[in-house]
Amino acid sequence: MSGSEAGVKPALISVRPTTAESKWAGKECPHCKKDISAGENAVLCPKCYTPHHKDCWTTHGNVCALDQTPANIMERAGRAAAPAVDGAPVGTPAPVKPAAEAPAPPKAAPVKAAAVPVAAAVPAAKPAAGGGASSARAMRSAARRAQAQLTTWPHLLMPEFLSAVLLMIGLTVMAWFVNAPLEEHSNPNHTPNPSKAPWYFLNLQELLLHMHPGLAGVVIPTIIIVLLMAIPYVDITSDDTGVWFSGAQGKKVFWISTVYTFLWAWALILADEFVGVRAVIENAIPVLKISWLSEIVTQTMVPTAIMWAVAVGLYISIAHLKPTVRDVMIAYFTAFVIAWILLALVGSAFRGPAMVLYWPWNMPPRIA
Amino acid sequence: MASGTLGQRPPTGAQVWDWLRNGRVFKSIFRYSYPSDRRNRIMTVAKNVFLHLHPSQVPRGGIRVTYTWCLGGLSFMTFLMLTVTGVLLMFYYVPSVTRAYQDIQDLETVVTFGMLMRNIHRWGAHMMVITVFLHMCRVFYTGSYKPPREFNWVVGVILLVLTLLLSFTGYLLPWDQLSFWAVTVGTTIGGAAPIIGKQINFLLLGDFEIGQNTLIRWYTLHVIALPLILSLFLSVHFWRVRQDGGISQPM
Ligand code: HEM
Ligand SMILES: [Zn+2]
Ligand SMILES: [Zn+2]
Repeated sequence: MSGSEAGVKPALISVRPTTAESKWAGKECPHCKKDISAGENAVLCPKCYTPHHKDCWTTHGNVCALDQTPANIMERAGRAAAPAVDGAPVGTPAPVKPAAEAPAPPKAAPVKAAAVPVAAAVPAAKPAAGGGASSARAMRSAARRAQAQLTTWPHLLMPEFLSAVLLMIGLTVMAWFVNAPLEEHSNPNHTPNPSKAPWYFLNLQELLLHMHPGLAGVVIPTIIIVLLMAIPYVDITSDDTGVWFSGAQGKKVFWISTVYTFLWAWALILADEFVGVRAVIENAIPVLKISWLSEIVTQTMVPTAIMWAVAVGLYISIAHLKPTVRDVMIAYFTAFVIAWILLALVGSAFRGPAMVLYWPWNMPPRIA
Repeated sequence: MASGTLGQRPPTGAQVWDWLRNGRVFKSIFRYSYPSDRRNRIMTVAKNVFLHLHPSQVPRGGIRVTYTWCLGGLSFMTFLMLTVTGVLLMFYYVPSVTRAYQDIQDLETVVTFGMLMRNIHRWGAHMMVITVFLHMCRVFYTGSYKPPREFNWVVGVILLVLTLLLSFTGYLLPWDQLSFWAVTVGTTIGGAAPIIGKQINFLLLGDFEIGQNTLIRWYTLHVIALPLILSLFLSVHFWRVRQDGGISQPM
């Protein structure tokens, strides 16, 4: 381990074409001291968010001209428009993260701080000894930092306290008026119809109706958990952290994915309910009447293929937007959220006796 | 100055207040008076065992309610309320197939505020599933999982799974038809796992069918094991929020 660069990768940042609306349009590039104007490609320092010309960043040795934060440019188009931030602090030329302006610690920096440059924003990061190259800059940044920081008491603790009180009142009021269900004593010899899991697992129970239980109840949840955990290791640019949907394009992707998933989920549920995919295939291919074979083909392979196809279709329907990695993440995470909620809803409100579909207002009573 | 001595005349309200607020007892608990300037406000948070979970200052952008929607905080508050009401329920509930259902009925009918406690615990459990899920959505859509916060996102996913497990293990305890058959459905799903399905099913039930062994397993998981594990991951979660430079903020 020699020095801070050993064995650690600098952050990745994306190229952002500048338009007249970009937040950084007209800001001064700290490398060449010229303004960044519309039409030019810019990058933002992942730590202090100061805009640089794309080429100035590379000329400067792929480090920020202000705080020497290293970052490599990801060769793929970023977002054209400015990230839509409502209510971002005004009057701050280049919004800064707290303590981010402390000059990057030189060689002897702790490995962790170097591992990901933004980690240097930890309040504890000490200004490096010998980093006093510009005390004027240090003072300016201290002033900016103070302006961007509020004391925890009362600015954070008061809202926290209030929301805690509201929560306690809300829950108590609800608990006062609505009683928790308690049915008859359990009876292993008498199965209520329908028997349902709690609502947050009804999405899995819904999948169970359409495919092999091992696939629905074990394989798919495991894959979901693993994929969720993998998100931050696939989407590794960090210069749009803190922006809802990463801007206008991400919001568009969100809506496309929402509509797409909603329609497909309903279509598949209805198709299986009224056409009966399993029966259709078994009738078409008589050998599948053998039950273990049918289990493999109609209950495992066909559902898996359909889910893959729907997933690929989602990518195709956002491809025209030239999605960034983040956009792809938004598309699939949204598909997960919408499908998850929708299936839980179908299971709770639309499934009646024998798990047949009913309109909620026509639901026959549960045979307890 | 603390005026502990009271004159001949009855003390005015202000004197009593001053005596309470600046007397030896109060000062031994809270060393400092109300913090009205920046420096003292910072000290208040930094020196208080409960508050020092927070940084003493926070970036302006990170505390907008429309940014976090307080969802992490609400999840935590709900967890605390569940702990308190859960302890109260434990005073009355015995995890035995011959008593459990009767104990719940007693809670609802003869125990003072028993019904209220049970209701708060039940609705709180649903609420926590919702707030944790929404918190995950907030974190995702604001891109707050990005470096350097990758690992805290992973810890978060574990917390989500633990929250679901806590909720589900509690579901069995009333031992009524609803809980019995919900758990039957749930454990049958586990039993459908490829290759080791039968073993998983036995592990979940402690038997070949739901019975006393199942109840004691799920009870122990619900009141001790899972809350402890969740608290452990929660500590890591909160610690990492600070280690990763405080919560992310809009640029
Ligand atoms: C028991 C459940 C959980 C509790 C009590 C909890 C609590 C909190 C709290 C209080 C914060 C501070 C900011 C905020 O309130 O939004 C936070 C931040 C965070 N949480 Fe959670 N959380 C839980 C579950 C999760 C889950 C399921 C995920 C994601 C899968 C997650 C990922 C994160 C991340 C990445 C941060 C940092 C966000 C930022 O810097 O903006 N947490 N959590
Ligand atoms: Zn330049
Ligand atoms: Zn910089």
